Amino acid sequence: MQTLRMAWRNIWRNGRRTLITGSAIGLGLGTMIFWLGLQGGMRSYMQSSITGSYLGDAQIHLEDYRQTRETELLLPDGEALLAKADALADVRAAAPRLLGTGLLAMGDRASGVELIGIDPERERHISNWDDRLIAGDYPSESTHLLLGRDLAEKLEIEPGGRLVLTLADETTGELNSLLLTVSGVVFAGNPMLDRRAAILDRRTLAGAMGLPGRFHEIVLRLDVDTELAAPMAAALDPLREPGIDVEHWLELAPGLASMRELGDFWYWITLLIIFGIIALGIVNTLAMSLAERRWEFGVLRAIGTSPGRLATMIFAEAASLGALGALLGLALGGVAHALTARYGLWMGGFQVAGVDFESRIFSEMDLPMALLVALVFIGLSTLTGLSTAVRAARVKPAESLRHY
Amino acid sequence: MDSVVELKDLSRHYVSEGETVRALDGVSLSIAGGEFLALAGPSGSGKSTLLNIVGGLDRPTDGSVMVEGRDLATLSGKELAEMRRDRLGFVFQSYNLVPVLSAFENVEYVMLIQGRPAAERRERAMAMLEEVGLEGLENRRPSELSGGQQQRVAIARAIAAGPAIVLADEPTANLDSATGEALLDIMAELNRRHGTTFLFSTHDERIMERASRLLTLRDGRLASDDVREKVS
Repeated sequence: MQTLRMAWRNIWRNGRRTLITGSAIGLGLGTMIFWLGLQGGMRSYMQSSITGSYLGDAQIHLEDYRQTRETELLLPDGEALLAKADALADVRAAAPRLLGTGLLAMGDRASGVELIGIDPERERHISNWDDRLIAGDYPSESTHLLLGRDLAEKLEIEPGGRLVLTLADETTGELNSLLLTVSGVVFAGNPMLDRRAAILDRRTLAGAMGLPGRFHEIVLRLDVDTELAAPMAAALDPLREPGIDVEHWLELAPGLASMRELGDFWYWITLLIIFGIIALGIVNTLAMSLAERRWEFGVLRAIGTSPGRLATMIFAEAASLGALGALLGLALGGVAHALTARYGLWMGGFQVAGVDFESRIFSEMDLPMALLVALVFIGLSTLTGLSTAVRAARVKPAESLRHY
Repeated sequence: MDSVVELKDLSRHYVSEGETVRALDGVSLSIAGGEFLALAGPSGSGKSTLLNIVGGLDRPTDGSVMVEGRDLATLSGKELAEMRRDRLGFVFQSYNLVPVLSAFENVEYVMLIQGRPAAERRERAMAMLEEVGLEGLENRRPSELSGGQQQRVAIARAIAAGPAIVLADEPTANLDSATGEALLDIMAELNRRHGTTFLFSTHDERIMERASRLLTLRDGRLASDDVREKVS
């Protein structure tokens, strides 16, 4: 306790120098905490974009469907599986989808499209399409069609416009045509959806494809921590059956999962680089302090202080500097986080891992992680005292006493 | 009386700019417990070197130093530190208090690193401060004390752990004559009352006059050894 008290008083013997070094630590830590919040916000945005625009928290398919996308690989007893999912406590919502391909045409404009047949009311609880409409309304009739933004622009069509969908009957092979009305245009932030998706009533699509009552996938929303694989996997266990793939979104979008891990890795690398620069300042402060107080170390050694205790005192001074910087950093980072959480930061115009960023990102703080980062800063600050501590411990008392 | 310090053929040589300087050259000396001993001599005669070697702050080139029967040459760095902490007290010319500690904390410090209990430390540190006439000033930092007061704190610090001998290097050199005299009174009183052994290196005539024994060093050799009746 006395060592800590002495260390705290010692660092204030040159208050200006301590404030400069503490501010450098604080700025570095504040930046890392701000970034942590921003990264949290981006992760959350990416997760909600990718799960909200299409994936959901988990999906159920017949084995091999996701790899082959063959239309005949329909869920064999889909309605029973859907009812089973509905009955699970950890499943908040479940919705079936029938998938296919077709050609949309309006006048002389046409485009190949990915068809997504949905149960509109169930789907409301799965995807965010009705929240992300940029024109028109969510489909409410069997002839309604919801288009991705880029596809609507390509076809130069607006809500209320009509177009013809041509697709194959999977049982007879004959082509069928449907006259549909565009009810709305959606910007999902998912390039596949925005460029190629045509969303319509599942029964309408199933009729045209000759697959009444059938579907390819069940999409789920879960009531567990969807940031982590383990609780999702546990929640999905009751739905697992032979020949059926039940996968959560981290398995469905492994690229995004890897990117999150890579993001964490680079976060710590950047932290070390930033800290490395700051460490030079801390080492300089401690080394100057050692040079100025050489005689004092001589006195302390003369009156019986052991080298280890002297080294501990230097470590305590380094730790005190780190703690001071950490307090400043937490305050700075906290303010930056609070502002970004409230007003957001515009990060439009780029795409990462299949997610279009055309939105404000709102900071989301992982408090235990922020505290861990602050502790790492204090720990690293303490370690930077190592060389100075060793030099202080090696001070020769008789020689040092001449430095008064 | 048993000797507290025993020096035999003590030499300390330095090499400076290619030449060997004999700071101490074959000094033999025995200091008994309770002595109030002044070490005089011109600058460069080896007074401070002798004090440093007796205090375990420096090692001799030749000869031996025994403190309370222990040969300092056989002690490791850690053991020397423990010896300084437990058995030796230091008073320096420039007071050399720890600036960030209060008068009380400076006196308490040695007992703290000895691992004594807090209550005992407090009681003894306060008693030591009272003994040197600093009661009421225990919470002041060195920068808030006069030179004489700082030197009193240094004396209290030196005797707090109950050392076998206090080594005082020119303790009155930075003080005016009245303050220096008062300080000498305190040290003489401690010597009389507790039997604390003092070894001064000094140019101060008053210390030389009051010492129970006056040693004179010249060119690193013991030139005279004048034993008086008692501390005056």
